[in-house]
Amino acid sequence: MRNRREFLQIGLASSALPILAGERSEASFYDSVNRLRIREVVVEMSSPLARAFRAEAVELGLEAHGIHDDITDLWYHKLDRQWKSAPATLAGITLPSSLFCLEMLARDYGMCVQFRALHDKAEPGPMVSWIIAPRLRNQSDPIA
Amino acid sequence: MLPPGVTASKFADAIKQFQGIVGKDWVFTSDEDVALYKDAYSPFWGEKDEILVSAAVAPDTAEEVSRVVRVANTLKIPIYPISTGKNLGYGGSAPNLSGSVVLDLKRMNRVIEVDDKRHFAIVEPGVSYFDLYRYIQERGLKVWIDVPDPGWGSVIGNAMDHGVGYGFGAFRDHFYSHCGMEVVLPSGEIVRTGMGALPNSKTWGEYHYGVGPYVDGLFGQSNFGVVTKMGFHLLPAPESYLTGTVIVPRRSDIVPLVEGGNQLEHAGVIGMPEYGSPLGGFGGASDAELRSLMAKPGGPSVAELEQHAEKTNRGFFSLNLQFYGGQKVVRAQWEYAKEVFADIRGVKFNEGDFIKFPAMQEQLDKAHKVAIGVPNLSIFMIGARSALNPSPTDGHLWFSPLIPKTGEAILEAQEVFMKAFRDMNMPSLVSPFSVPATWMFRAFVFIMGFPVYRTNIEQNKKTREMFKHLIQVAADHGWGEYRTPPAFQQQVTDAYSWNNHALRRFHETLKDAVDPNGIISAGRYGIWPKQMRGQRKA
Repeated sequence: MRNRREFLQIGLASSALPILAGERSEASFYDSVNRLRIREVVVEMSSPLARAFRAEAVELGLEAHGIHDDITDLWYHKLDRQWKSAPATLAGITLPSSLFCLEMLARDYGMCVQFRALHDKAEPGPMVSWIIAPRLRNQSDPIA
Repeated sequence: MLPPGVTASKFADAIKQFQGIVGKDWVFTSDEDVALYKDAYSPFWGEKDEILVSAAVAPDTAEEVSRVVRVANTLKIPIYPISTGKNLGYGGSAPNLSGSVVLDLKRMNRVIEVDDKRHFAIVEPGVSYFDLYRYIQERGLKVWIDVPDPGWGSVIGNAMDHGVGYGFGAFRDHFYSHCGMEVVLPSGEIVRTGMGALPNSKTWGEYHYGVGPYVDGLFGQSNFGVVTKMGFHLLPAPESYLTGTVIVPRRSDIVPLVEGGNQLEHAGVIGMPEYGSPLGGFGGASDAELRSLMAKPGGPSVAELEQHAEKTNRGFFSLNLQFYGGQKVVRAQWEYAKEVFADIRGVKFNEGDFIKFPAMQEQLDKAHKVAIGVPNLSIFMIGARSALNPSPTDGHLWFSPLIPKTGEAILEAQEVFMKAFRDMNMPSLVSPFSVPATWMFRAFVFIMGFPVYRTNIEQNKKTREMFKHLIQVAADHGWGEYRTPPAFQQQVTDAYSWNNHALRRFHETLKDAVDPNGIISAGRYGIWPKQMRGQRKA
């Protein structure tokens, strides 16, 4: 059985395409993965890449939420309640529009996208792998 | 960055005082934190004119808001209140004045009261449509909210920007359907309007006006105070919902089609009328032959388009009617509606969905959820890359001119705006099939969505130029915008220039009286504090 590190390596960097310029390198991504205890993932069910990731996640005992671009049900029935009481780290492979929604909503709960990588040639359209986690308050806050 | 005109030491003092009021955890000054308040759909993304924020403060109560505002007033710190900051397409969470401190009201997310016998709610600004919907569903209350698309925004924030929804009658004009406010004035004083000004009022959520001057309108699309509570009238949950479509064959049939739609809507028979064209809409012409026809030099004639509509057995225009109420009532209303349109030669009718509530899951999955008061985020799916949308944008700006509720006005607007795009040598967002949105129930909005990109500054510049051109073209024809992003608010409000800008001068008189230091939302909808009016530019 794969360990978590290998699982995420396969799922989140399986395409040969470059990570977005300015985003974190794979090495720092794994540091984040080890530090952030990921228990749930979100996957776009129309994407073979994301579905394979989902299968691995389930095998590892992670909770996997399948969506079809629309995050409404996931948001309303799960994340809205969960993030209100205890913001928790989330990873996923979705369409960019889904990540956009999650990113906008996450900001209201003190969370942000800590990692993102675009898979531009994925089918049926560009996918993005990501991690959303609670923001660390800036250690170098200019006005402490 | 610092707010304009504020020294570093004064800013540090302000931040320290804000922290003392709301707690250190709720004052945000780091680059990472303040970057979250950028307008996600900014037409200036990456340019020097992009609006940026110096800090953000998130109070939890009206009393904290009052104390924060008093500090801002004393130290002359410009602040910009937001509810949930999701007004994408119209500026989002970014202020008009770069360097402002955002007053983020999202922590104020309490539903104060929902009454399903008198049909109203009172909420705080951080309450989203999802929140209010959940509150009502969890308690089994027999009321509906009216929702915009998407449903993640603030109920108060949307209304304060004159936002709109999709439901029945006046409920979908969200400011119109509000009832009473609590407002923190720039002095820090807290005032309640309408019946709320009566201590222990029993009717704050029911009767708008109280007694004497009705001031609520002064706080919408303006900068005279910070709204911390607001009431809203709600629709009693209907027994059923029915749709029916009217299809007319000729372009000129839009005139009687709109007349009939107006009659039904203004008499309270139907909810939001949805005009459309089977020949195409936002996405352009709906089939390859029609696209080829549209590409002809000089464009197709009306006769050619009508022939195509007839050949493909589609009409030229359609009107989707929505009925809410008892089962017997909605069915009778649909029969009546057919009589209203019967004189249009060649008219066709299609009965659509019927839902008796509570809806079954498959009915909900098929339904246009916003029309039945269910907030959702599915609108974002239309932006995904596809064969019809090979180059998705990073956002959009809404150009929202109001035109009269007539078929003649629709046809005129099509011609005028198509010419405007030709004059600027830009691909047209308007076609002979374009129809207005009908969110407000006593005017049409001939809305157009302009793309914005985070990595294409040149395209954004062209978009801004086209947008500015359209504002002028619309004003020349007596069509003003009802709402606009901050980048264009000055030009749009300048167009409302009757009697030498008498309305703006009145706004400025009020602004000078209630906010002499000009701390709240400087520049919002063209209202600048006295000390900044010389810098006003469109």
